[in-house]
Amino acid sequence: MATNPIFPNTRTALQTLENQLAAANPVGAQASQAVADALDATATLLTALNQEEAAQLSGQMIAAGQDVKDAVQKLTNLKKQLAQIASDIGILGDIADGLDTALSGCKTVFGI
Amino acid sequence: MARAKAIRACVCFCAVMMASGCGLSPLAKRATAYSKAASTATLEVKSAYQLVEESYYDVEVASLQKNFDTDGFDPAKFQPFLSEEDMKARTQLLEGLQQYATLLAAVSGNQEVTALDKQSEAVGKKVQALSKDSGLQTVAKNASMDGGIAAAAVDALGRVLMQREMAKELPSILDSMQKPMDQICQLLEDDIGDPQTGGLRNQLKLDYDRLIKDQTAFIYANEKTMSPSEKQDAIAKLPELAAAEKKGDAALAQTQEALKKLATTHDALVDTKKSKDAPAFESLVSQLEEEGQQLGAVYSATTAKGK
Repeated sequence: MATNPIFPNTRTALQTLENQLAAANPVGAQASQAVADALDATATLLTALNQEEAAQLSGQMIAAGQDVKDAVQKLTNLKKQLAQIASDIGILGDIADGLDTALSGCKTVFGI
Repeated sequence: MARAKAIRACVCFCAVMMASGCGLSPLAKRATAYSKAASTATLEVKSAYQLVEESYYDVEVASLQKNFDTDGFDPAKFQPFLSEEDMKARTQLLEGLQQYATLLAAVSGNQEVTALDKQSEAVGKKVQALSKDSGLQTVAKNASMDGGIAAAAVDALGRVLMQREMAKELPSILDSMQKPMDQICQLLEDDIGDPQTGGLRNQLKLDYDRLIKDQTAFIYANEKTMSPSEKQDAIAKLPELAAAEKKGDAALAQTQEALKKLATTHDALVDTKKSKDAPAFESLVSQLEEEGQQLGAVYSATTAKGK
């Protein structure tokens, strides 16, 4: 898994997205909930990658759990809303493209 | 319990060695000093894992609070960040380093080390099993070290701990452990990682970023039903979380520094095998000791073990 370029590329795309969401400054219930949900989903996927890397140290591999599948679905559902509010909450750049890259990488990496 | 036992064993050996210091060779004295400093620093590395387990647990609790109305409470969803098996691999590696430090102090004296041999042998067996069964060969986190090298380093540590006949041969023990020590310390440094690319530091960042955004969303969702002081308290948690993230990351970065120093000081010890005086080593070993003590204080303040 670690030698496949899709693995580091997916991590980079997810981390870029996580940094954008962590730096966002949403105001109001709706925007802050969307950012919190998207960040939860992104962090769940990055956590799964961290756990997979950690498992290599002890020889254990983990399969994509339900939480990973839910996180991918949640991010897919939030894509449109995040793209609409991106400039209002201080997210610079095209978040939709970044999300697409991260999501397609996750589907390959986790075999969803 | 094991921690206390390890400290007692090492302190005991170091105390005996220092008390009878006048009869020791310069190398043996240095090995004893290294043993004491390395023992303190190695013990604190385990706290790095505890720190991240605690932030991960906080995220699980926050997630339960957020989703309780729809999902209820499922105890099975509460899992540690590192599985029992993954944590065991790291614990055994650290125990191996700890035992190596104890062994160095013991070997530096001219005493019988039979009791210690048994303990070393037991730890050595576990460490060797780790190198064979764990799939360390597949680790390729760091481009400069492939899985085979990592496995060989762990295997070498296990072998040194198990070979009783080497107990009186300090220079050859140091020689055989120079590379493995560097590689094992590098492996653990990589495991702590970087906030942007993975490892414990990345996980800590993810956890705190989630906690901060969840807290923000909670405030906006409930501000209409909160009293002014409840809202104030909830808002005050945000900078506290940001500060805890910064502190935690600094502790993890310092742990990486300590691991680096553990390896470079060991290298310096090996380089002084034939020297009477070794001022560069003395300086490094005192830095390592200081680093270990600082780490102890930092982790006492940032993890539950100190609270």
